[in-house]
Amino acid sequence: MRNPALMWVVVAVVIAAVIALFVPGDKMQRLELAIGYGLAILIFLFGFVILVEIATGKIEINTLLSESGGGASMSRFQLLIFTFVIALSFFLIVARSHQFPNIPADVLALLGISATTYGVSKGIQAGSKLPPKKATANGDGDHDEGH
Amino acid sequence: MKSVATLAYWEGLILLGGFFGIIFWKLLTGGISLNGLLDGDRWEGSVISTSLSPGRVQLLMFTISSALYYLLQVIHHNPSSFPKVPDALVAVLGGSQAVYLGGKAQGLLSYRFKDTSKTGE
Repeated sequence: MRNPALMWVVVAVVIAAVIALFVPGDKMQRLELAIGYGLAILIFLFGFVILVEIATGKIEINTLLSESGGGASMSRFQLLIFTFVIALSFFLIVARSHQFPNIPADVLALLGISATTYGVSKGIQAGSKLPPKKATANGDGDHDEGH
Repeated sequence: MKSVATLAYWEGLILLGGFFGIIFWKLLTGGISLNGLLDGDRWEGSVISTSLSPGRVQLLMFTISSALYYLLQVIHHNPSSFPKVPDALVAVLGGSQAVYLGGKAQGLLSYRFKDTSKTGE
């Protein structure tokens, strides 16, 4: 099968079908298990495909923190750190409580502050008339829009 | 259904750990460049050069401190919901961003005024 995504879908459906047909228990319980396992495996495989493609370089993330003119962006770096922290916190809380937690306004504010900084920083630069950037030893002469 | 929850837990752990690990590895090995992260613009005549920016340094320090503080709150207090972010932390972080943005705006505006006074516009 040439399309790996389709192959993963088939694998998930086969596992769900096996659970639905062969696992002992009443029909509703088997249906719940089949859907639960099928979705869990499918979503994991989609994420895993992306993970593998990033690891092998098919999906480039080299410019994750870079701006168009070169140089790393402080705003992007900050947003990356907060995204990691909130994502990890979210995972730990869901794993502990087994339910979708309420996301309080102050957590959104924490993420919003860094996103706002990025936006304002862009606005400041867009509103200024910048001269050409001085060429450096490594030959970077382009204008750096790093924040 | 507990076994599905266990499966989902391990899947989430592998995916999150994988994403964090790859990004961390690329940051360490230079795959994701951090060159110029702490450099701010400086005006030299009619061109921009870059040098270490105190605004960026303080922003980086406050960001990492705040992020670590919040993560430790989640890990140590074992909560079943998001812990509250102290108002002081939000204020400090907001102030740090304001200092960074203020410095940036001041630098750009000062160049603009110089430029305008030269050209007489």
